[in-house]
Amino acid sequence: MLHPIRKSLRLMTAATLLLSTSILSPRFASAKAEGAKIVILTVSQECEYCAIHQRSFLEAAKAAGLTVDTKINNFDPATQATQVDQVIAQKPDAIVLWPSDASAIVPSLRKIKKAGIPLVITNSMPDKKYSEYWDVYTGPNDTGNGEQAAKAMIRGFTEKGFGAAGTVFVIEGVPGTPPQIQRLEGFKKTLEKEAPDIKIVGVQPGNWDQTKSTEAAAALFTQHPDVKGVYAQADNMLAGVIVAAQRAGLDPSKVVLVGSNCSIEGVHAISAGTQYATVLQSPVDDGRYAAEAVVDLLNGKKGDPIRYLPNPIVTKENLPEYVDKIGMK
Amino acid sequence: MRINRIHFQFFLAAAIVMLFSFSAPHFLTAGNLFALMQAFALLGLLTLALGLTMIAGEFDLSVGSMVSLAGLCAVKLGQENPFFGVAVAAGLGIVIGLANGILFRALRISSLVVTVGTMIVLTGLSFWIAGGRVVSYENLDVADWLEKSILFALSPRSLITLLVFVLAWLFLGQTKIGRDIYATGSHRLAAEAAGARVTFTLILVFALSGCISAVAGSLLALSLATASATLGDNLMLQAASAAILGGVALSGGIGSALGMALGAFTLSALNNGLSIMGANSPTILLSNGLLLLGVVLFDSMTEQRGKRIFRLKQGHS
Repeated sequence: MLHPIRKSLRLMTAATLLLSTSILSPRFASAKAEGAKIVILTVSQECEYCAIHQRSFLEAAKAAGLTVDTKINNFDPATQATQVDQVIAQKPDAIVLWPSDASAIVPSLRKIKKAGIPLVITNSMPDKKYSEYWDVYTGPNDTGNGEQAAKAMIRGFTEKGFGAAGTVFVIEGVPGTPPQIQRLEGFKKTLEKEAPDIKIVGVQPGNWDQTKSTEAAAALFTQHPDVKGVYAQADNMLAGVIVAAQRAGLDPSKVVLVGSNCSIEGVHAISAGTQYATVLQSPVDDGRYAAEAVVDLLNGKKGDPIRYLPNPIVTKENLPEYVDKIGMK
Repeated sequence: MRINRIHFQFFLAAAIVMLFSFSAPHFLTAGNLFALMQAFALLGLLTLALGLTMIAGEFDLSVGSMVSLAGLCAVKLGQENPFFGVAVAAGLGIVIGLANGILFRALRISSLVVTVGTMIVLTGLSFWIAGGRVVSYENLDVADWLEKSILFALSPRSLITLLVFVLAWLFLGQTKIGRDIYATGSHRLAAEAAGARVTFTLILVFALSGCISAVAGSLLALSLATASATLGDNLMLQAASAAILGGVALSGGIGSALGMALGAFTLSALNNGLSIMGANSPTILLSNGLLLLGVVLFDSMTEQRGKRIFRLKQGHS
C-alpha cells in the first residue's frame, strides 16, 4: 500500500502531466480565444444600427468566452484617436475597431500595428492602400450593395412591364461618405452594363435623412414626372421618396422603388407593397462577423482578410426569410 | 475677498485622479497618461483661446469653426511642408481674430453677435474648401512625430500646449498689456479712464484667440492626417466648460493661465477615466455637466460669502 503523501504526490504528478498535455495538444490549442480580453472601439449606442451591431457583437463574443471592454466616441475622430492611445496602454489581446472616420483613423491604425495588437476593422473600411495595418475587415461591401440595387431595379422594370428602358433617379446619402460614393458607383456601372437603356436622370442628396429625402424627391418628381423608378441609398430615405410620390399624385406601387439596408422602414413599405425591393445589410450579421473574425484571429486561424456581409435582394416574396436579420426583437 | 480658487482647482484635479487611480485599472499607467495628455493638448489650447476673451469680458464663439478651417488649411497647404501649413493657418487665425475684434469694436455691438456671424462664415468656408469631403494628409510621418511619446507621457503636441500655457502665464501676469486685459474685463470704463488702451487690448485678445485655435486645429488635423469641415464641432462647449471649471468668470476680469490649464486637465482626466470604465456618451455628458454645475455652485457660494464679508467690513469701518 502506498503512503498517503506519496499517493497524493503521484496523483498530482499525473494531474500535472494530464494538464500540460491538454494545454499543448492541438485539440485544446484552438481554444485560445476562451478568456481573452479584447476591446471594441465603436461609434455610438444611440443610433439603432450601431446598437444592434453592438448587441450582436457582444452576444457572439461572450458565447466564445471573450471578455469585452467597450469604448464609444459618438462619431468623434479626435476622441477615437485618444481612445486608441488609451486602449494600447491596456494591452488587450485584440482590438475590434469601427472607425468614426475612415481617413482620420489611419495614424491610429499604425500605432496599433506598432504595438503588435491583432486588429479587426468593422463596418467602414479605410483606404485599401493601408490594409497592411489591420488583420481582418468585416462589414458591408458598398459597391456590391449598389450593384444589387441595380439588379433589383432591372428585375422590377421587367416585373412591372416597363421592359428594360426608362428613366430613374437616385437619392443619395451625405455626399463624400464612402457608402454614398460606392453605392452610387456600383449602381451606375451595373445599369450601364446590364440595362443601358435605363437612364439615371437625376441624383440628389437626402443625407441619410427622411425629411431631406422627401424634399429632394419632390423636386425630382416635378422635373421628371414620367420617371419609372427610384433608388434611395437607405430605406429611411426611400420612406421619404414614397411620401413625395404620393404627394405628387403618383402610386408608389406602380413604379420601381428600391431602397437599401432592409431596415424597419423598408420592411413595412415592402409588406405594404409601396416599396419594390431593398438590399440587405444586417447589423446582426455586421456585429457577429466582427466577433467571429476576432475569435479566428485569437485562435491563430488566418481566414479571409476581407469578409463582406451577405447582401441579397429582398422583395415581398422572400421578406419573411430575413426578418430576424434586422434585429427587431 | 475670494477663497483661493487655485487651491480648490488643485484639490479637484487631484480628487479626480485619485478616484480613477483606485477605480479604473490602467489609469495611472504611462500609456494612459499619454492618452490623457493628448486629449489635454487639444482641449487646453481651445480653453486658453476662449478663456482669454472671457477674461477680457467678451466671448469668442468662433473657436470651434476656426479649428475646422485651420485644419483644412494646414492639411491642404502643408502637403509638402507641414510647418508652412501650420504657419499659414496661424496667420489666417490672426487675420480672422483681428476681423472679429475690429468689427465688434467698430460696430459697438456684442462680441457674441459678431462671432456667431464669423462662426457661420468659417463653417461655410470650410465646407466650400473641403467640398463636402474628408481631406487626407499623405505624409503619415508627420502624424507619427506629433503623436510620439518623447518625455514620459508627453508628445510634441502636448509639449506645445504646455509651452503656450507658460507663455500665457507670463503674458497675463507679468506684462502691462496682460494687466490691461484684466482691467478691460472687470471695469471697462475705469480702465479707459486710467489710460488702458481698451480697444487695442480687445482686438489683440481676439487675434490671440484666433491664432491659438488655429494652431490647435492644424495640429489636430496633422495628427489625424485628416481634415474636414466638421472637425471642430462640439469643441466649443467643452472649451467653455473647461474655462469655467478653470475659474474664468463669464462676467470678465477673473481667471488665470494656471487655472485654465487645470480646468482643461480636470475635464480631460474625467473623460479619460470614464472612458476606461466603459461609460457611454450620455454618462460622460452627464458627468461633465454635473461637475460643471458643482463648480459653478461652489463659485457662487464663495462669491456670496465674499460679498457678505465685504459688507460687514464696510459696516464696521
